[in-house]
Amino acid sequence: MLRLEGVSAAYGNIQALRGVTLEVTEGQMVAIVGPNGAGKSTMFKVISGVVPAKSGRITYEGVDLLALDPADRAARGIAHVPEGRQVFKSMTIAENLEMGAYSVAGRLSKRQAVERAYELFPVLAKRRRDQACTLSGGQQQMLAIGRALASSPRLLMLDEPSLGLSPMMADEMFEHIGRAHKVAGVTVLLVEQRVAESLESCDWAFVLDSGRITLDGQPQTLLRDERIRATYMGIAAVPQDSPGGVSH
Amino acid sequence: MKRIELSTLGLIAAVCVAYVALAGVIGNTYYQHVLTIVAIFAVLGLSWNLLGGYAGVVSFGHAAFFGIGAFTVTLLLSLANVSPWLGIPAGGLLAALAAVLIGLPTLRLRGIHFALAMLAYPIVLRYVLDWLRYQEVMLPRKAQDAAWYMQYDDVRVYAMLAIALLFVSLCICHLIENSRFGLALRAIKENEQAAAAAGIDIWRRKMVATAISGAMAGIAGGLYVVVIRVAVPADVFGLHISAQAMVVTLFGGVGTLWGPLIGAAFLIPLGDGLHAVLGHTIPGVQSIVYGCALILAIMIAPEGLYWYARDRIVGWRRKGAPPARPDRGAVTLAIVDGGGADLNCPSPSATRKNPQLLVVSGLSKSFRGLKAVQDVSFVVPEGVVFGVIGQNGAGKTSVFNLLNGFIAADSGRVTYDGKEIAGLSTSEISRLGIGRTFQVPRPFLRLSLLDNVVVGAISTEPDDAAATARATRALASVGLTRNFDTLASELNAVELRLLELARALAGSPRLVLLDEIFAGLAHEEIERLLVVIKRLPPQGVTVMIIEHTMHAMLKICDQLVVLDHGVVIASGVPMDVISDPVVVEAYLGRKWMAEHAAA
Repeated sequence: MLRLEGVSAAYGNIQALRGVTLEVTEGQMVAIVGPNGAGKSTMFKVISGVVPAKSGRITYEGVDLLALDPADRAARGIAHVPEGRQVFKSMTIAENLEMGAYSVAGRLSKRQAVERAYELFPVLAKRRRDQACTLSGGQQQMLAIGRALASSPRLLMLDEPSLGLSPMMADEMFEHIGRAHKVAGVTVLLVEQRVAESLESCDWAFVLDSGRITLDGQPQTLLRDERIRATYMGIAAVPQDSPGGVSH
Repeated sequence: MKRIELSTLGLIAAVCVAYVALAGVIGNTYYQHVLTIVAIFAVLGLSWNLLGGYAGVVSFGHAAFFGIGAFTVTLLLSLANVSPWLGIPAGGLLAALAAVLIGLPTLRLRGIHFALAMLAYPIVLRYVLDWLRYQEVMLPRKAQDAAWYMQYDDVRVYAMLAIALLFVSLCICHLIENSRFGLALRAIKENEQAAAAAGIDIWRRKMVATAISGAMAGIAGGLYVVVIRVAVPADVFGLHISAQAMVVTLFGGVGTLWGPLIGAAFLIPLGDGLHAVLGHTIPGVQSIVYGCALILAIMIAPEGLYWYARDRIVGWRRKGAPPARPDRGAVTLAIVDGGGADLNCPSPSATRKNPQLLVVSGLSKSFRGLKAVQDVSFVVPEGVVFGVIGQNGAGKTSVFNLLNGFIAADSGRVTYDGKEIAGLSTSEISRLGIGRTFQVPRPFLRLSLLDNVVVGAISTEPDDAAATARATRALASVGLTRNFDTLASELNAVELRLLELARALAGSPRLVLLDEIFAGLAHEEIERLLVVIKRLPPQGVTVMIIEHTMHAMLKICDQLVVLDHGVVIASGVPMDVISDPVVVEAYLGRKWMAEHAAA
């Protein structure tokens, strides 16, 4: 469905991606793991068109994606939820969700799309007439994801969806994402600091480090990898590790 | 904060000497006049820049101050026979007073109130003078004591006077630029709330800047009227004067010392020349040409000629050399084993701990019917790490905003070290010793790493060198060891978190409020930051922390309070709190408990 071949990108002198090659099959849920500054967010931005690629090819459903401008990519069903609660702050919650349904990719009617977001996040339904800026940080995150889902995307890229969410809310968020993935058949690309949770729910994972893919495989394989566990998950996150995270 | 640069003062002197030499060499009276006017409008631009460029307070009506200066000189001379030598300073004083009058009601309010009031100000003054029948006042000719009345036959003297004024104004602006006052202004421009949280009294600093700016504009107006010898309200209070103040600055380089002079040196001769050449043949066409030139310049150099030229020069110098900025991927957090250096600034009470450092009782706040915080009470003893957890939207950040004065409580009391702080402003609370960081970092993007942290120190440390030293120690204590000149806009997520923590610590607080400081950090980075935070209480800094990363909270917190829908539902030591069924139900979730019960 999506294929990146030798994709590079840079901000001025700073090289962010150095020839990323990867392939995503339709219907998969894929986790991208790696340290801060590895280029995960940049990769999403290159796919959605916010940041131009310096070299390489991106094909999406057989189409050369780099030839399209960002709006056309969204119209083809690529939804990008950037890091950090990007919502239209002065609009109401309902209006924010309608903006999501604005895209041509939206195959549902506006009302259906919005209702589906409310189903996933009931707390938004309760406050549909409030301005988005009155929501708490975590609720804004839900709204950003709800808005992306309202566009009925075929490829959903989520950059740290659980950022700033309470443990319960984060669990719920992963469930919601899993449900959207299964029910609507959306292909999901997921960047997460909560590595254990994101690996748990995905079908395939890539490790991105210093702008390159250094490893990929099934989540179970990666979970057993010593380096991954030590570097990205820490001690507390590994279940079989006895007395929990309190010791060093 | 930089030291006063002798090299810059030397450059100012050199430019002014060259200017004087140019004025001396040129014989043509018309060019003499243009040179004089350029210097006067450069001063007007500097005055505007002080407010708009440094503090970010935009004025659309600097003609108000300019005109007040001009009419003070005119009326004192024609009505009371007072020399402009006295009239010009009097005009400056009156203009400063006028600036304070307009600032008093408008600068307390955020938003565009000041800008709008400034738009109306010169118009009102103009019509008042028209009504008083001062539509056109010629300065009376003085045959005797001409020099005392600033009436010279040799127009070069006016140029010298204007250049002298320019020299003094440039020096004043340079001093301000490099002082703690200038740093505070730039911090206010970058992020007002963060500046307030760092202890800067926003309103007072803005008022001082407005008064100085008004005085400079008034003095420029006073000299202007002496040069052209006639005062017309429609001219000196006119929109074109207000526009000129803005335009020379924006064209030359906003927020820079040299910008207004560069802008005036280009635009005034251009405008005047066009007027002289084209004005007679096709009246009005000069304005069109002038406008087009301006649009073109803004398109090529949107931030002004100064920045355009500087970027070019820096670009040439960098060419061939390796990139100055390090690779983003390679930037790592440099915390030396077990955290950085000590803060080394124990507060006087470090030995005698207050068991009731912060007492919150019955605190409530509603936002249009939404009860964000309801009857919240808790006590934070000195020397602990005190965690606040709760569902998203439970009111945690609202509690922090109430504690540091961003929002006012509807009811309830907050006592800090025995002193009632509810109702105090953010900067007052900060100076009492409560620092904070933000959920989404709020750095001063255009300030250097070091300056960002110095801002946190200046409100409680009167000595500049000591403030810088304190900032350096704070940076070392959080383990942020990048080049101190790096702009904050070049830092990554982790470094911004550390920068904010250092800024809060630089104020030598006894209590810091950390709002989701781990958000977006990878596991390893969290571990390192934990070490830094753990070291704070032994150094006399009590910590209140909001965080969702539970494994980190369990490691670090001595006490926890749990909020749900604005209400405290549990509090106590962490292990008791997380095994409370109410907390599991409302916050942690059964899944989390199932996974972590073993731990």
